[in-house]
Amino acid sequence: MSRSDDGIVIVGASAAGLSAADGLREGGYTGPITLMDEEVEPGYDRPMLSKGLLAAKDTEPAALRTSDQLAAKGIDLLGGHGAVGLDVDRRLVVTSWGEAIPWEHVVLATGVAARPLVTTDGTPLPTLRTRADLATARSLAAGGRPVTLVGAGFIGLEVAAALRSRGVEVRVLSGCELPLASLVGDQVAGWLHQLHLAHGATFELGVPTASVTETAAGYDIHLADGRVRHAATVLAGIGTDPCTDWLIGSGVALDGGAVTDPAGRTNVPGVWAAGDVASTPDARLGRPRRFEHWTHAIEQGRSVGLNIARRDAVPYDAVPFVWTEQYGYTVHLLGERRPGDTDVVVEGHVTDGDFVVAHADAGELHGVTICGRVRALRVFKKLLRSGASLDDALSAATPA
Amino acid sequence: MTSVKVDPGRCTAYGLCVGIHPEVFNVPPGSPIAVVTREVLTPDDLEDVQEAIRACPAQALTLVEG
Ligand SMILES: Cc1cc2nc3c(=O)[nH]c(=O)nc-3n(C[C@H](O)[C@H](O)[C@H](O)COP(=O)(O)OP(=O)(O)OC[C@H]3O[C@@H](n4cnc5c(N)ncnc54)[C@H](O)[C@@H]3O)c2cc1C
Ligand code: SF4
Repeated sequence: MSRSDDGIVIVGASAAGLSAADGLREGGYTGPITLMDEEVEPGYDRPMLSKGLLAAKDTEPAALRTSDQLAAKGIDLLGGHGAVGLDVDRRLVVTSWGEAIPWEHVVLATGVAARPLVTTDGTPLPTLRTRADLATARSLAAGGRPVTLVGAGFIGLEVAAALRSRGVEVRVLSGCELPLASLVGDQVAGWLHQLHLAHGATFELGVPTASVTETAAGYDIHLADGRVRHAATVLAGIGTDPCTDWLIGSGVALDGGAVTDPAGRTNVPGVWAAGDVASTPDARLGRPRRFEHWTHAIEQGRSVGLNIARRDAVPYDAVPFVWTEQYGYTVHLLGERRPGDTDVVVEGHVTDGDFVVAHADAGELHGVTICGRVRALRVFKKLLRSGASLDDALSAATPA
Repeated sequence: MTSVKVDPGRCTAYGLCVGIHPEVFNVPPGSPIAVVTREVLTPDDLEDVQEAIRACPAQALTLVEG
C-alpha cells in the first residue's frame, strides 16, 4: 500500500525541524508537511537566550519563521502538540491531545532539554533552554540578589557575562579546573576566565556539586569535598538530555539520542532524526554522540529534508562550527579540539582577545579557535574541510 | 549576476552571517543592521552565503538574481 498521501510529519519546530521542512521543499517534495511542537509558539532564536536577550530587560526572542513564510511553503504548524508516542508499524505519531497523525516519513527533531538539578526536597532549580526559562532567568536578574550558577559550560559562562552586564553579583561553581579548557585549550580558556574575573564574576572550580538543600534564606550547595556554600538564588547549566522519552519502546534505537547513520536515517525505515536529538556514530569515540549547535541543527535538518525529497542518503559531514559571546567578545570554534591536542597561536595574541589558535596533534589539524579575526574564519574553515595539516594552517596565517 | 540583500526590517545585527562569510557580510560598529560588502557574489561565495541565509535566525537574507 502506498502511504505517500500521508505526507511527512516533523516533530520539533525549531532549528532542525524548520530546516528539514525547507529542505523537503527545496528538494522538490510537494506533498503535505506537518510540523508539530509541544511549545505553543515554537521556533525562536535560542542562542540569544543566554546572550543579548538575558542582558536586555524585555525584548522577546525572535521567531524563526512568520506564519506567512510557513503558509507560502505549504507547511502546517501545530503548536502546543507534544508527541507522546511513535507507532512504527502503523506509522503514526500519537500526540498529547490523543490524535494519531499518519506519516510516510517522520523526522525526529525534538532537540534536548536542560538537565535538571533538583533540590533534596524535589524542587527543580531554574535552567535556561526555552522562552519560559528566559522569563525565570530575567526575574532572577531583576531580583537584585546574588545568583549562583552551577556549571561552567558555554551557557553557564554566557549567563554569567550577561548577568554581570546587568550588575548582578555572580558566582560560578564547577567541577572542572578551568572552564572550556577541553574545547578551546588552556590559553584561550585562561583568557576567558580572566575576562570574567576582571568583570567581577567569582568562581569556585575543581569541586563538583554533590547536592542542593533548601533553606530559609535560599539554598545550601553541598560540594563534593564536604564544604557548603550558601546561595540566595541558583541557576543550573549542568548539561542536557535528549528529548527521546516519547520514543522509548517504539523500536527506534536510542543511545544518547536517536541513533542515525550519517545520512540521518534511524534503524527504522522512514524514521529520520536531525539536530540536537540525533546521535551519530563517531568512529574515533567508538560510540554515537550528539552535536548540539545551531548551524549544525540547521544544516543537518536541511540535509535530511533533501534526502527524503530526493530518495537519497547523502551523508552530512560539515566542519563543526560553534560560537560563544561573552563581554562583547565573540569566540568562534571551527572543527573540534581533541584531548591531548597542542594549542598553537598562529595569529595575534590571546590576551588581546585577537587571535587564531590551532588545535593539532602530530601535525594533524583538528580545529581552530578564533576571536576578533573574522577574516580568518573562512580561510580556516576551508583548510579544515580539505583535511589540511598544522603546517598548512601556519602558512595560511597572517601572524601579526 | 547574483547578489544577496539584507532586509533592514528583520535583521537584528547580531552577525551570525558575518561568522559564516566575513568577506560578504559585515556589521559595522554601531550599525543597526548587517551590510553586504561584496556587491556581486562569486561562485566560490555561494555555498557559504546560502548557509548564512539558512542560519540567519531572522530570515533576513535573500539571494537576488540578475
Ligand atoms: C541558552 C542557549 C544558548 C545557545 N547558544 C548557542 C550558540 O551560541 N551557538 C551555537 O552554535 N549553539 C548554541 N546553542 C545550541 C542551539 O540552540 C541548539 O543546537 C539548537 O537549538 C538545536 O536545534 P534543534 O532544532 O535540534 O533543537 P531545539 O532547538 O532544542 O528544538 C527542539 C524542539 O522540539 C520540541 N519538542 C521537544 N520534545 C517534543 C515532543 N515530545 N513533542 C513535540 N515537540 C517537542 C521543543 O519544544 C523544541 O521546540 C544554545 C542553546 C541554548 C539553550
Ligand atoms: S544573521 Fe541575519 S539577523 Fe543576524 S546580522 Fe546577519 S542578516 Fe542580520
